[in-house]
Amino acid sequence: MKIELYIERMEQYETGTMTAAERAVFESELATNAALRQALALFQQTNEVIEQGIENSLRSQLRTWKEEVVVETPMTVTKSSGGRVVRMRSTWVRLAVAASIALLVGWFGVRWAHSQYADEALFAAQYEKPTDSSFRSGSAADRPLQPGLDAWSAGDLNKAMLFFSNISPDDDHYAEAEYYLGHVALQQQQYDLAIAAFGLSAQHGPSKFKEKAEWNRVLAYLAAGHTQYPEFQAFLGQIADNPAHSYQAQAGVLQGKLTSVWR
Amino acid sequence: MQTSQWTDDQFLAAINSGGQNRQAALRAIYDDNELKRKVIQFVRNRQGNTEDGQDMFHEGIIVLDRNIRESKFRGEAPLKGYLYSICRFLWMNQLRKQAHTTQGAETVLANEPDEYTPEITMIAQERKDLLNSLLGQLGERCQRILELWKLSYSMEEIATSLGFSSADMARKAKYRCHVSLVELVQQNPEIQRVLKY
Repeated sequence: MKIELYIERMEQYETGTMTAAERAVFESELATNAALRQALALFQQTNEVIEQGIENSLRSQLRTWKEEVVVETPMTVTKSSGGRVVRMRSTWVRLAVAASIALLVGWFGVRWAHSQYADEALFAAQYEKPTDSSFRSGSAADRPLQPGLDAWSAGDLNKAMLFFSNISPDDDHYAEAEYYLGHVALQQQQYDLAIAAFGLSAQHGPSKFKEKAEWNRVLAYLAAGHTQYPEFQAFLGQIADNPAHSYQAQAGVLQGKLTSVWR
Repeated sequence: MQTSQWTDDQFLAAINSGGQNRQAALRAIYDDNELKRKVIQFVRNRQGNTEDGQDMFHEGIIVLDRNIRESKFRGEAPLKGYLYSICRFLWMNQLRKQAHTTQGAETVLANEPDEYTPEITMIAQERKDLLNSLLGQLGERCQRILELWKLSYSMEEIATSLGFSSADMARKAKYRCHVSLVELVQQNPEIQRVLKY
């Protein structure tokens, strides 16, 4: 049986596109032509195959539409034979976004907290630069360091450092000069010089600058990032353990922050 | 256009005309959330779950589509009521197949008034598998050409959709595919046996 012989006419017959005359001729041929009858039977059976394909495609299309709706719906609850199942496609997306935000917030939070406990931050929080008014206390005769202080006030740090450095250890104002030198050196970020200057000031003997120098020496170590140095720990501990020290409270706070988990 | 904006006649005309009109009509039916909820509710109240209800709604649309195209439904009853009764019938039929729920299903079914009697072609799994196997042998492109042709897409639309250079090329391809399919059926006595019923 050559199906090609009949297929066009069978299609027209099945789809109803034949004229009445053509249809009559075709049907009379069907009555006498067994091969045509057999071909038509096969042709009709192919309809079922094609319909199955259409059904598959429509089912697939419906699933796609359903998926679209599920994505748009925040959460629908379904029940399977084994129990309830929560459909959470978009909820997962929301959770993922929330988790990402939480992670970001957490990350930035940790970073922020860490930054607040960094050496530089602790130094900035504790350090107090002497005010200009403190430079003007006492009479002119009591202010032999005034040229250095003026240079410092004017922002001429090199001149100020040179001036304070030239004050002799025999000078009555040596401890004070070293104290100011330490501050200028800190401002210049010459931390080793600052540590040495504050140290000399503190060790020179009893003076109103002793405790300030001791505390600022500790801060100079902090600014330099030398918090692991044994001498730093020792100097800080001496202040923190001395209830009579003017900076005991600050030292205690600093000790606590230096051992914080945020560092 | 939403379902509420379609009349039953428009649905029938769109599905019968095929092509994009059919697609739009089916989408509008699918988007009828009130009807969908009703079907899901029916299934949930009768030993099913939401997923089952969704599936029945899908299967109901598939049956409705074919019944309209084959003029088994001509709008004698309201279309939504007809679709609902198809879905209900499909679910009850499925319940009957489940041995452990047969008793309950029968009771439930007996209590359900049948407003409409949808004509449903139930395709047995074996038959379905054979048809799908034949479709596999035919190839995806031929399947698609024949489906679109059957759904009254024009040869121009088929050419555009499947990337043929012209409607004439699409027509030739459709002819070859149809001949191939008839030959495949001819060479497969098992298919012929199954398709006789």
